[in-house]
Amino acid sequence: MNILYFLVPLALMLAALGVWAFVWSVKSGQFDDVETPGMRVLFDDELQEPSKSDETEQINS
Amino acid sequence: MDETFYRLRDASASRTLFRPARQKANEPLMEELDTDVFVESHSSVLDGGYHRTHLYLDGVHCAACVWLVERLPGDVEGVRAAHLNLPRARLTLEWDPSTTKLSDIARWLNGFGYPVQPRVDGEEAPESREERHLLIRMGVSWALAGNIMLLAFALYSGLGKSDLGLYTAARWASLLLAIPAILFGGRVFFQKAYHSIRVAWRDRSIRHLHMDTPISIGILVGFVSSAWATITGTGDVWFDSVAVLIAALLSARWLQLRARRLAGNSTEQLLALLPTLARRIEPDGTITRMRADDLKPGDLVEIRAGELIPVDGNITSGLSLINSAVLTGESKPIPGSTGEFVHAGTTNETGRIQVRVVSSGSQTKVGRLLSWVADSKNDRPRILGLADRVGGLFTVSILALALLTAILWAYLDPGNIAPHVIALLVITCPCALGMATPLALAVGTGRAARKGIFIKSESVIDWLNHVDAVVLDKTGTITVGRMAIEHIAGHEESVLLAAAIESESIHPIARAFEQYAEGKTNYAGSEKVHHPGNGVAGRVDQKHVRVGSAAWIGRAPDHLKQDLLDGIQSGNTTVLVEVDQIVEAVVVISDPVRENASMLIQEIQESGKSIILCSGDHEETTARIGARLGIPQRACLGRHSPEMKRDLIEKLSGEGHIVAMVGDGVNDAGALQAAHVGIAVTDGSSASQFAADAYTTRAGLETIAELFRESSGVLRVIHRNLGFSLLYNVGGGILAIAGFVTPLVAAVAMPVSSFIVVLSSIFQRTFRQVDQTP
Repeated sequence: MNILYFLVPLALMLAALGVWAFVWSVKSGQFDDVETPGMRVLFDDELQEPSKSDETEQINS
Repeated sequence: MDETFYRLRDASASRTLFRPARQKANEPLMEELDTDVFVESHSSVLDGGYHRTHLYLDGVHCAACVWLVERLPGDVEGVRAAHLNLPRARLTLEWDPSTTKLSDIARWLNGFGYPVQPRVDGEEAPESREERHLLIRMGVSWALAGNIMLLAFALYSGLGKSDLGLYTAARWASLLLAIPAILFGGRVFFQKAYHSIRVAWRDRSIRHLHMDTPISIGILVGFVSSAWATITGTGDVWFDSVAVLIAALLSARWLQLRARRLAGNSTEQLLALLPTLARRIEPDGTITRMRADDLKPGDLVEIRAGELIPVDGNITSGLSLINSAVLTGESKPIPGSTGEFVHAGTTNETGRIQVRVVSSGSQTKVGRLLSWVADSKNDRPRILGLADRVGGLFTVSILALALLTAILWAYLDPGNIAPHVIALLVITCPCALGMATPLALAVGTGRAARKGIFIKSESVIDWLNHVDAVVLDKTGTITVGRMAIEHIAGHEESVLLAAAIESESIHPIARAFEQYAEGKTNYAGSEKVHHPGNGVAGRVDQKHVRVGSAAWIGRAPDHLKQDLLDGIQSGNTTVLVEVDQIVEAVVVISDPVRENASMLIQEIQESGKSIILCSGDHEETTARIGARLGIPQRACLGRHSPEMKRDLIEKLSGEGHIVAMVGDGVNDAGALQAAHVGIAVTDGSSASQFAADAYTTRAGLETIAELFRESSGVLRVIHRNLGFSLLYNVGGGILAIAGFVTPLVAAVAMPVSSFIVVLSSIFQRTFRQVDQTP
């Protein structure tokens, strides 16, 4: 069981790393808006011509 | 734009809370956006000459809005990046002042129905900073509590039974982890407890003891006794219970703060009411643009048609119609000519006028009203939550129980007094009790916001359940706030003829005719002659038409006599239409009552509250509307100025009534503020929203009825939570007195009780979403 003398402090250090990351993320404003970024994923970067993509699909099939 | 918009339109649950878009750009605001002062004070300069500016938008509410607004960089030259924060409706722009103007960007947004709000503040708003700090406190507390729990459960399951070294090490590790949890996480409670003890000591009254006092006692006793046990190596440690307690209570507070943010509460909103820029006419006749606040009495300003009047003063030249709906609630514009006194905040509707300044800025009538509202907002005594009110009683009872335990065990087993007293103080620490109110309120107000009802302070829910007098504003609240034709008897075609000669007149009756005839006719009137106080005559389609009062037109034919009599008796404005010397129709005109007004009033009356109708309008009109809605004659008060409304509210509360005021417009702001609960209804100006404790953004009055109904539901949930928490504390107290509470029992019982309160709050059935079609 003596391994615990090493493992528990190690685990606590890892936890401290997590806490530091959390504090950093809150301070940099990442939790200010938890809604919009989720929507932004849905947007296309550039508008695509609908006809073009249709053609590609036809060629592929 | 393209189909992407329609695909995204329903990507989020519809939150139909915002005002419909105004398409016309707010010109004075556009000009203000382009001034150097504005750009400098609201932007930070980035590399390459780019500026970063935050703007607040109206009307953004879904994924499609985000998509649309973030097309800005591709559509407007000189914009590098646009980021929208949807919950706060804040747009962050990176733009180049050398290639584009801020007003161009604002116009682009306005074109899609997202008007820029004249409210601007920095990124580091105090509320958001407070929320971030609390979130960090909460996260760190949970991390510490989690690790302490791991160690504690290792100890409970027998770690170190054979190995004393590991046992001691685990306890010391817990102590080291608990120190930051107490100092960093627990500080919030200690500060409030210390403050409340000081106040209680000063006033010699235990009623001032806040709920944080027993919480702090529990945390401190638990921690100090555990630390002592660790150092001496004997006795129980309670580190896990104490740490989880702190983390759970901080979570409840954070949720509460977040829910409160939804309703918003910014003094900046008030500024939107007064124009910030004015045109001063210099002695040499040139015009200078300057801040309205910097104008001095005696200065001459020019106000163009459609602009807001920036100062209180006398008209020196020009002729126009002045709309003072914002001040008086009267939607009919009044002609203003030389010598007439005009107030800041009113709208100059038709012509260009020059005004000699009498007072400006906060010295104007609106300015004084607003500063009064802003001041008393801060002065208002804080109403303590239900749980906080019992804080003092609670503290005294657990201290009494602790004494009882000590005496009991002094007889039974003098060596074990301390452990049992400590166990009692830890297990009765009001964790669930402290969470019961904030959680129920946070969930309740959050749900209300999703339905377009914004509750700014939680005490509103409490007060609403005690309200026994409801004061309702008439114009704009009970009624639509516009004249309209209510009833026509006789020949309808003649009414269209009448509308033709009434067109182009600004008289409210004329507007009612105009609205009625819109799209139905293309008659054109000529030879129009106004007979002030009587009516209008003119020629339409080769016929001679007269519209006016019965006294002026003359006798009505027999078949219309009864209708005329009914109209006059109903108290509404009743006019006759005469075509070629023959009376053709009787027209009844009124300010229509909102559809569900009588339902609301009936519901409020049935719940045992008295209703008072209060209006700036004539006594007769007020009484008539009241009679139609079933409000007793003596409770219908007409001709009440904003100050009188406020005095009425103060008189009522002085008589011991708990008063709710429902109103809109700045003219109600004082009354909304003075009432125990001020509720601003839809279309309300920003000042009334600011003065109110709750406001709705959904049209109609059903939200008000809902607010009354559902707040009692939220209160029931709070009572349920409090009841359960007290039961838990009493049960825990009895077990502790009997000597059955060990650290393990506390570690299990405390989170379970809190969890039940959480579930009870989340699954409350208030402000339920009914099927909504957007």
